[in-house]
Amino acid sequence: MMILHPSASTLQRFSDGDATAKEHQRLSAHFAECHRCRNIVGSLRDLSAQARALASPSPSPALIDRILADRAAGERIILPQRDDRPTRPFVDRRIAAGLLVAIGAAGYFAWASRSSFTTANDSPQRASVTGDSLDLPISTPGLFLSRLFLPSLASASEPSSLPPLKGVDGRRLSAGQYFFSRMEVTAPGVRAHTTGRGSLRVRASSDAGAPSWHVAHEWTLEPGPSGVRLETESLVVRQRDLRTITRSVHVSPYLRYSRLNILQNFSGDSVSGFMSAERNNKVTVRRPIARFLAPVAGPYMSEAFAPLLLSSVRLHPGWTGSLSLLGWAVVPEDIRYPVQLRVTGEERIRVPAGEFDCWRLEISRGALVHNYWVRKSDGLGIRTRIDRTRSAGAKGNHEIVLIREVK
Amino acid sequence: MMPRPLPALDDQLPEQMSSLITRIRDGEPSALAEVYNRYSSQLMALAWRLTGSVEDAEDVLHDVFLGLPEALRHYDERGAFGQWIRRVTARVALSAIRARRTSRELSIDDYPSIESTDQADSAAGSVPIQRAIDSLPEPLRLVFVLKTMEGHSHAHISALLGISRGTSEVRLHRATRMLRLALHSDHPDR
Repeated sequence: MMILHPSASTLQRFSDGDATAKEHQRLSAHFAECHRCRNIVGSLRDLSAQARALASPSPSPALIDRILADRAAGERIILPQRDDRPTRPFVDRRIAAGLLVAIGAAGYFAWASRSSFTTANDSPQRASVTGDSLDLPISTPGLFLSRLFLPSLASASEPSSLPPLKGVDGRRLSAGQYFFSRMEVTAPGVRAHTTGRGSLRVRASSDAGAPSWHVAHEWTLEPGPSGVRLETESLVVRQRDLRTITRSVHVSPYLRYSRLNILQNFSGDSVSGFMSAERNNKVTVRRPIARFLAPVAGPYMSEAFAPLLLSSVRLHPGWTGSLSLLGWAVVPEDIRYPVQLRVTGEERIRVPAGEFDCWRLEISRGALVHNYWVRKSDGLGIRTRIDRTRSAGAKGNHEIVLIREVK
Repeated sequence: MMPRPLPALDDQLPEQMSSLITRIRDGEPSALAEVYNRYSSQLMALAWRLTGSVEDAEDVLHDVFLGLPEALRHYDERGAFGQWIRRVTARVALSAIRARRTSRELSIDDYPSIESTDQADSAAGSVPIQRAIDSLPEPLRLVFVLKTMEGHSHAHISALLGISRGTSEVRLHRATRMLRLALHSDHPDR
């Protein structure tokens, strides 16, 4: 009588414990009568056991020191988070050959027309990715503070000489929505016309069960060479100390791209995330973000949060503090912008939203000094005066003022 | 001297594990070192089995722990931490293998010498099964290591390697057949 033996792959599945219940039952019955197959399964299991019992080398004792030293020096890496290599579907060999030629040609032209930008999503990505300078995104924020300092990017990493903001208590903030205008100033006290409009909404939220503030900012800038530019930013900050948790920025258009997206996560002393740039609603460029944020330059704050920031501290005559405004961190020149703040006086200020008692502050970085007024009652920034800035879109003196608020 | 491996994190109470993970996320070096001490041996073994080189395995381990605080943003703490970090290590090791495969800078000096007395060779070179595994073609060796030695499912191996589940099964079968041939030349080859 002829015996039908199970296939080798079936025996392998049985040996690995991957056989279905039905297979298991059928094979067990077969093994009761077939010592040959039983021996093969035994041999496979012996092989597995021997392989699992093999000794392996230990890492060198100095490795952990090297890892910690590299992190302390600011080195970061983005680890692959998914199994990015998709399973290849069956493709006819002739079709596959044609596809390979087409993909190869497209790849060559893409490579030839662009610089070396690492896009592989399945490889660890070093923070020190470099690329075509034309594509390097630098944050060009449109409101409140950091636009003031863009002309001096070269010295952006200088340390502050003032102590960091102390006594921050984010619970002093309250939910609300604020509307601002950017206006050109033709003469002292004369706001000629609006060059941009922005809104800022803050609401209580929670992140992983911890109280947080969610801040949504939208800013429309005057028409430039490529039309109206829309900037939106969404922030989640910890309520207790206002540490940034996540940040997303969208700018449309940005240079030759229809839309630029920045996604950042903040963890410990680092920011990580991705930048992507779109053309015709398709992502054409992606870059990793992985940067060390030196604690000595903290606290770190997004510009979108700037009007709310001083709500969290108690100001007084002579008060000083320092912080770093966050850049997009895609390139090393655009990680942080250290600024110093100093209360220089008290004034009653009239803006479209009303007349308020304010603290007057100087915001400075190096020789650049600008004026900023903060409402005494709640610390809200209600006016920024930008004198003779040559930043993009601002040819003369400008002011950013509060025009309306909804509590 | 390497510290004695500590019990795996997954053996700890959930709140202890969660606290340690939070400290790593916050960039605390001592927390990173603590997890390193617990997991480095088994992750080194995994990386070494996949890359076949002590130097490459150490590079993999370096990268895994260098990027761990940021990578933990994506760990939701629902699954076992040990399994998660092993999967991350496998991905980094496979990335290293792919990068090595496509590198045009490899020279014969990059491969271990037969006379090498390094740790790996002394640990495993005298064991016939280790030599047999090392001699497997890389596609077969990767599947054998991941399935037999690391216990991954064929579904996960297919995702890691970018092959179909059937291909993974076939490669495992071929690998075991070659190993059995190498170790027992008289086995009934099917």
